[in-house]
Amino acid sequence: MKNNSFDWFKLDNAAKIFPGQNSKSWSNIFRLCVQLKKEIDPDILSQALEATLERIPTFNVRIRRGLFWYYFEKNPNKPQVLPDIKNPCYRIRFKENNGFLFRVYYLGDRISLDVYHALCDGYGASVFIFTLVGEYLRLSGEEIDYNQFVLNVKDSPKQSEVEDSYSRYADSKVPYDRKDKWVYHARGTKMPMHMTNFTIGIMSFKELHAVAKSYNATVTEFLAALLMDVHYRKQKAENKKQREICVQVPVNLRKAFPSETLRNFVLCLRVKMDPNLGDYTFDEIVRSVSLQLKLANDPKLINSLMTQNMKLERNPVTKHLPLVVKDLGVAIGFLITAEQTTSTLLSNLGPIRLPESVEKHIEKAILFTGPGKVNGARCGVVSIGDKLAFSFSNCYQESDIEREFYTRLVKMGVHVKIESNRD
Amino acid sequence: MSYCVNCGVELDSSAKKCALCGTQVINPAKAQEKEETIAPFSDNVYVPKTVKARFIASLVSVIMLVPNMACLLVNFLILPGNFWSVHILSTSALLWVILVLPLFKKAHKTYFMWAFDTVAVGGYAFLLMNALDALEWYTTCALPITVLLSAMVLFYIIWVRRKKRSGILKALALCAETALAFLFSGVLLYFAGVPYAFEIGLIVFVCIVAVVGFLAYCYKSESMRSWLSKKLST
Ligand SMILES: [Zn+2]
Repeated sequence: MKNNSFDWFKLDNAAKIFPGQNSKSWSNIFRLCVQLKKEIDPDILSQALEATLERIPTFNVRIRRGLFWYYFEKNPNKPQVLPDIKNPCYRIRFKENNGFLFRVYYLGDRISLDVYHALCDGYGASVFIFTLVGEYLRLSGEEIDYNQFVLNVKDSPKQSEVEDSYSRYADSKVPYDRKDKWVYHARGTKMPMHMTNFTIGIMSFKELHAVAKSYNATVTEFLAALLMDVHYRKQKAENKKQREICVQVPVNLRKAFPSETLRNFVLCLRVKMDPNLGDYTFDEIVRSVSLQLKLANDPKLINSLMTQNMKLERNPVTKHLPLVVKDLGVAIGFLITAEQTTSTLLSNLGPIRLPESVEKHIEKAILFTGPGKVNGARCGVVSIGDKLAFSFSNCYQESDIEREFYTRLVKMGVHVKIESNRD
Repeated sequence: MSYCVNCGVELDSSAKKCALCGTQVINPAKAQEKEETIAPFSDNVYVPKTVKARFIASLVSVIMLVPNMACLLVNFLILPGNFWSVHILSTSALLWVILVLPLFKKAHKTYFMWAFDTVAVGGYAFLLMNALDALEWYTTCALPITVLLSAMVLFYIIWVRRKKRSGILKALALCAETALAFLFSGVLLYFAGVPYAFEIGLIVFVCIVAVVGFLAYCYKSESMRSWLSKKLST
């Protein structure tokens, strides 16, 4: 398959700011890990990876500097698979790793993908890794079926999979200017550079769903509320000036806007609570979070936010500033404002429905959001079958948020199994 | 299966202690299970390649040393007469003291470095002015400016070390100090009779103050910060 239109891409709207903020202190890499039921053979994995890159050309790129923008260009090098490491999500350097903006690791029965957020969002990454897993299983002699997550590597890539859906759909007449306050941050002792603490809780989706339902909330709403509650009580115990708490919840826009893109197509909703309004019980927090998420999840409102985000990119003045100036602007802006308007992140990829022939070989999947700059605990959720994995990526040494969160679940009757890279 | 008695969560059978609270796992069944499980994380920490500062320092030192030695030899053996190689040697020595010495980790004693750099700059200026027969310049301009800058650097070091401050605040203070340094130098040079010194110093001072002021405003103002934050994040 040769198609010139897959030889280079512009970065999409969400991706555009990432290269400018790439730094030691903020990697912007997230990880998706899939655990199979048998030990991984690196040679087969390597073959499967090459086939997968042919199928998903948006990963088969290196990043280049243009005069005005960064752009992706087809990478002529061969990708590698690497033995896994203790510190996933460490920063990417554009010239390392043969220029690839992702890294594939194996450890025992696990395959992990560390990917630079400019390439894709969680959905795109899950399609990539499950296509890789599918091809790996096929090469190891299994019969498998395909669906939207497990693509057949023999098919040709589609133009609709590489499109920038932001520019297609952002057309609201009323760009919505969100007013965001300076919010609370749970801080601690910073980990050494390139090290992040990961703490994963594995639980039964059904058990968690039942608990969420008893509070009249969906799983995402319930988890966001619990996270909010843990931060709320931590701030209260710190006994300082009480600030607003804001949980960032990315939503997959493919649900509201028909798109097949495997690149970025997410938007972050914000769920907030102001402790200065008075004391909240957990029930009240769940109710509030649930309502806020339901209210914010309106396609017209989302379009308006999306259009607002496109403003700088579409503005004729800022558009034609040289890349150096843009990078400097992004870097300074990031230095001053990074994460100041969010307290934590909850990214839920949701239940991933795989073909039965693939799912039976998979033990579980885990989404690691990668460390924040000032925010300690940032969370990723994904479930396959009945196994749900909830992960914390924490740039601080302290584990009090994780402990509070999981023990609260245990007290509600959810069985939690912990995995961690902490010493 | 191992459990943490403190938190009530199940732990991976490879875990030696609870990741949430640090309680040691005591599990008699663990010894038998151990063989079949692989820990969920590798023990291998990957540190991205960065060239070591000391290595660079040594390399630069050698690179600087070679032409200096060559000059010295040429000066004595082939072109004797005046000591012209002193200029090259002293300039190299000054650059080395300021740029390369801090890269050697052992030399990280701040006040020592400060004193050393001050003496080095003063000494360098003296050598240079002496060779140019312009010692008057040295006493009226070079020495006062050296003392002034050195004092300002010392002030900054003390300020930074007194308590933990944020990176942005430190950067702002450094910019403000630079602006003041230009202004004071301008005043000094004006009294030494340098034409337009004060005006130039003032212009540079005002420009830097304007930029620093804007950044300080961004740093202080919540609305400005959240406006910027919104423009720059999705
Ligand atoms: Zn424990």
